Amino acid sequence: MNSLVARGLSKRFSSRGSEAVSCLNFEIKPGESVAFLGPNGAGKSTTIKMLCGILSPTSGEALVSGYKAGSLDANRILGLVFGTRSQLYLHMTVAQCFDLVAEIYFITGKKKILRIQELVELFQIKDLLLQRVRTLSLGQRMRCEVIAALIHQPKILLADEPTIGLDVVAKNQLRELIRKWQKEEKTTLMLTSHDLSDVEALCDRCILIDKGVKRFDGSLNELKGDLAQVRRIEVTTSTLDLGPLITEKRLKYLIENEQYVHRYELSTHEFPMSEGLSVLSSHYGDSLQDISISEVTLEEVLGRIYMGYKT
Amino acid sequence: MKIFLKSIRFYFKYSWFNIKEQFSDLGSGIVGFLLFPFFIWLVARLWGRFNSYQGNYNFNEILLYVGATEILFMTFLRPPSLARASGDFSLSLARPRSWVAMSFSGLFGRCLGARTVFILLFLFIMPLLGVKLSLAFKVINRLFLLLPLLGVFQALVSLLFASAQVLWTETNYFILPVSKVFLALGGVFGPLVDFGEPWRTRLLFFPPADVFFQPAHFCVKGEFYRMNPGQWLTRVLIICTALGVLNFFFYRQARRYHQSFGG
Repeated sequence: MNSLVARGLSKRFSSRGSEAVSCLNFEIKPGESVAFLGPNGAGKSTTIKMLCGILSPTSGEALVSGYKAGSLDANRILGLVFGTRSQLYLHMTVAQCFDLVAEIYFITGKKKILRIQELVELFQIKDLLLQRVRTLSLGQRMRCEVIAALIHQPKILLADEPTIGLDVVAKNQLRELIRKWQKEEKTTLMLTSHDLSDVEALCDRCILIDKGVKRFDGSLNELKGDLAQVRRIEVTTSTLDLGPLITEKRLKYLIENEQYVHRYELSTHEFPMSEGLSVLSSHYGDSLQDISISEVTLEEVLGRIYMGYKT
Repeated sequence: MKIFLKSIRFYFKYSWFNIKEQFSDLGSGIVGFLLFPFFIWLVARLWGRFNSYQGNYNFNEILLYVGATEILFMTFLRPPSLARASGDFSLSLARPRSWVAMSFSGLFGRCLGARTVFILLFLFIMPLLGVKLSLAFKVINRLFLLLPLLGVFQALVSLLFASAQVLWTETNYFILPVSKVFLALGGVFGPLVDFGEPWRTRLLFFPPADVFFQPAHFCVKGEFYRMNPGQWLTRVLIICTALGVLNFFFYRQARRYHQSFGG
């Protein structure tokens, strides 16, 4: 049975307005990690809210492990993390908050204690347990938020911008912990985030929507399309005498204004990287000081796609 | 039945959690705690100065009366509690617990927690104002007797406003006027029993008198004014039932209206 199903899911907020989400169809299998992407106002949060029962669809249906979204059975197996909405109580200690959240989800007694212990060890927050939530840093608080969402061992975790506002270190730590948890408990993850490094780190599949309509559903590599084969090569030279290589047509020179740095782009299925590097090496000779290779980022890909929607 | 009992246990626990939360954030109420003895002294002095009748209470009793009504009033319709309840509305729709039951028990717990803090303060202040501690204890014992029912009333009014805030955020602006109406009509400035006729009878007819003046009068005098405990209980239960019906209506409307926003 699929973990999440959207069948003809639509939402219209006023009878005269247009549909915020229009006839959305997708299925997410148990254990999958799916990113739900789209520009601002695309209908991502509205869809997430319909999936977790906060909003009722105007037409169509949303199912959570076969249960109608918003039903008691569905709510018991869903975990929710909202980056902009806290489940914790500012003036209480972290341990007291976990205790309450466990009881909200009917986890009591020894089972509750063991489960909290397990997550506390996994997320390495033992020293935070007796601290009041108001004294935590944002990174520490988000870790606790994620634990609060996982206490009842949800089969599905819906995470809406879980790393919003976090610095690079805290972001990486949180991602690493979510990945570790998902590997251990084999849970379904649906993530919305404007930080595409989250998506690349945690998800293998993505669903892209715009103006409430699904535009793409597939793997991240498929989303990148031809751009997945494109590599950027950055060459640093030690001299200004030698210009960039412009005679090799398969190696596209990107014109920029840095004197000692030359940037190129190549498509690996047309021009293998080994050949590209060898051509560059012979062109620059001894003046080649440094060379670096990078892929086209998901941000660039989505930027191009979103711009395409606008025009 | 077992599930029902487990749920009741949970809501009691949640209420207790809120009492603890109230105690763990004493800093935010510090101004209220500081003003509490000043209000008692000031209102009692003013009443003594401007009320020519003064036939029902001596000055010590006025201090005790004002202290008791201030305990009830200063914990009535607190904006942070309402904000927490209305803020939890969305999230509760995705949780396996009822928002109404959780918010009600939370508001009830917060109210009890806050009132307990003020009661402790009351016991400390009264001897400083010249009132015998034994008299203050007597008042507090009687107040404790009424606190659960008054807490239910306060939680129902707060819940109504929390639902109303989901419906129309502007209802936020009504909280202050409504609490002031209760302040003026409920005899928080001074005992209604000392008001001249026809206002005394008129004001006693309104619900604020049943939840502020009558409990405070009972605490000081040991009896309700012009009614027996059964009559008072009936009146408060009718008020609570009416609030319950209004809450049901507002919650349903709020749930429907909540569907009008995405994002």
